[in-house]
Amino acid sequence: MSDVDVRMSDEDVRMSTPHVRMASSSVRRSGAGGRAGPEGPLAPRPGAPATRTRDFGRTTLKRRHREVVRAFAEALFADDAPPSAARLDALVDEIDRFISPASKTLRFGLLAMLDAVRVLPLVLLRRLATFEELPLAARTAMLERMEGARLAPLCLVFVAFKTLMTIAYYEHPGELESIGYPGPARVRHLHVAEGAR
Amino acid sequence: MTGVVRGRELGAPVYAEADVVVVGSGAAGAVAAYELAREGLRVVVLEEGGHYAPEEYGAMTPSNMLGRMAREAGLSAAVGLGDTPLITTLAGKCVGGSSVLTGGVCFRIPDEVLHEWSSDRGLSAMTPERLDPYFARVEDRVHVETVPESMRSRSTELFVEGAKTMGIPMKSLRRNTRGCHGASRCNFGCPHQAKMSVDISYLPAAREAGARVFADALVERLEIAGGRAAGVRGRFLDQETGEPRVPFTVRARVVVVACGSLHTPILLRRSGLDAADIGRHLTLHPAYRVSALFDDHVGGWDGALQSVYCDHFADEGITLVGVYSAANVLAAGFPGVGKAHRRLAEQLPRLAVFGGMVHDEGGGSVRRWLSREPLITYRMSARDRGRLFRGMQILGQMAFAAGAREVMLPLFGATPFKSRGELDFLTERPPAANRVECMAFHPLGSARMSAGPRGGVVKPTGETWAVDNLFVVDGSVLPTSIGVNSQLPIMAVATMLAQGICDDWSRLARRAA
Repeated sequence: MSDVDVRMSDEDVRMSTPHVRMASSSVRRSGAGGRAGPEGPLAPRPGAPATRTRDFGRTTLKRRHREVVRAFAEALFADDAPPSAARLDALVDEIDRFISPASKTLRFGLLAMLDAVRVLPLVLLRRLATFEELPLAARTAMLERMEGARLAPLCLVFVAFKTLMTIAYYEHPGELESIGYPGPARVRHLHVAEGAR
Repeated sequence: MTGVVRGRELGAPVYAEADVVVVGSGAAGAVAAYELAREGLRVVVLEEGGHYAPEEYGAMTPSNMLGRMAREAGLSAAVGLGDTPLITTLAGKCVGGSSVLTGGVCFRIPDEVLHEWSSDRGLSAMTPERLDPYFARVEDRVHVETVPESMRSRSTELFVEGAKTMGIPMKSLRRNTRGCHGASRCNFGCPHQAKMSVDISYLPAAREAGARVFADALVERLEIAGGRAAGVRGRFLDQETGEPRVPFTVRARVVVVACGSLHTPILLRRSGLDAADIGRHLTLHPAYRVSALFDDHVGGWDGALQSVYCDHFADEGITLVGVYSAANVLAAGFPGVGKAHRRLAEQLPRLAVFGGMVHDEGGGSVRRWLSREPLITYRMSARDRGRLFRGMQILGQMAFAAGAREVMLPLFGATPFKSRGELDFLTERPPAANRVECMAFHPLGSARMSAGPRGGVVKPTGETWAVDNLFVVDGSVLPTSIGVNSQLPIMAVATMLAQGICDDWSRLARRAA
């Protein structure tokens, strides 16, 4: 049988395939690395992977949400000292990039959760302050209460953002190394290959 | 062979004509497209997700992969009704679908499940003998092989040792791999293209046979005229907003739906099908991980992500499967905040992980609601809750039997357990199930097959009872949960149903004319 009949526009421009035609005005090739430029909303962190398919350009977090995410992450990852300001700023961008492909409904839900975290000090700590205004020790205490709360939704909000943030935070080779991960080198498959020989 | 067209790069409407349009490019859609195209049929494949070349997977981090290639950036979940966990449901949204994000574990459908389908439900083609050639065909193409013992990670070896101490046998798994390097991140795209996901094994062959594949193509409605499917229409997603923009129409004599159990019911409903069973009977195989810390170095990241399983408790509806994951994903599972979390995260090299899965009796449903994504609800039965906690207890006991110092259960807010006796509460005084961190990777049954028009959505041929020339070939047609990983069964059933379309083509084409 013949090839599929595909018609795409009147102003045809041949693409990489012999049969697909499309309007020249519609063809927007991605730039170097297939990503928006460093000034754009999808500015990748240094060394971020390049793909031929360009990411969608939307973002999710508004200013107040970014502040909550930053304050949450600072408490979550504080050891003897909190992470650097630059590291936290980059993490907020990464979280935004992570969640932005999700549906409108889910993104709305995540923002609503952040708004809830913002005002939770009033309920959990009896303090008239938003979450990001609390000192680090109080934020840590509040997150610990959320994690151990009997009310399952409180736990879920904590676990949802903790999971997102931890995945993004420990993606950096330096952070992975600091918790003992040696990198991508593997040896077991070499033993299999040797055995086969 | 032609490449995959990126719909997000198109700016003008598209019209196409074909013999068959396949909606979805995952384990079912890719297989169906290949089987139909190799018979000489003109096939168009429409995939809502984006297209990424397998060579690009290794450069992407887990969050990159989830954001680009998983539904809802990996945050999709089934809402628990009653005493039921919130169950995160990982599903692919990319060319290759969920096959890109699976661990690659390959099981055939257990004989006892097929016996129930063929004997009790009257699905006479669903027998081990009748399905054998289709399983064999798929296993050959995706290179199903037994994971050698030497590829077991130290994490897995420890659980095997613990099981052996308890007298519990473990078996080697089969996976669809060729040249696995043991990177332990299969579920974020194989960095070595060793996992034979359908974007590597089937779609190139389908394209070679003439199938055309469009990415970023959201099918919004099936075209139905006079009780017969006549094509589909939808819109390509916009490069900037990710929302539907440029329209497309594909006219076809046969429409094959393969959007998976979570989206097939949505498309059918949106297109006007109103059978009561559409979206009901969803099963999930609720799954969980139990982690353990040992005194010695484990380094569980070196070895196959999944290499052994245990069917010793199959009669209790529990399957245990070795598992690991990317280091940062495992770190997310540690409890605590600040220093407490850091203390545990720094013990990652001494961490071993094992997984369990419940052969569930269903209780799920898929409905349309506010956005394009479905509302998934799930009500876990008391029987399955018991299985959930029993499986956790067994895994915890195995870990202690292997010498674990601490065991971490997937319970919100739970601190590590220090002794085997501390796990007794799981079966004696089980906690609320909604405190369990639960996952699902095998949604099935939401448009199930039935021998008669009552009680199901599709005929044994995969054609819907309601609309002629409209077929469903994905996991949603499986009538019950199967208790094992579903990728290979979905592919084998899709092969069988696609073969049936080819065999019946002259009648279907005549009907379309």
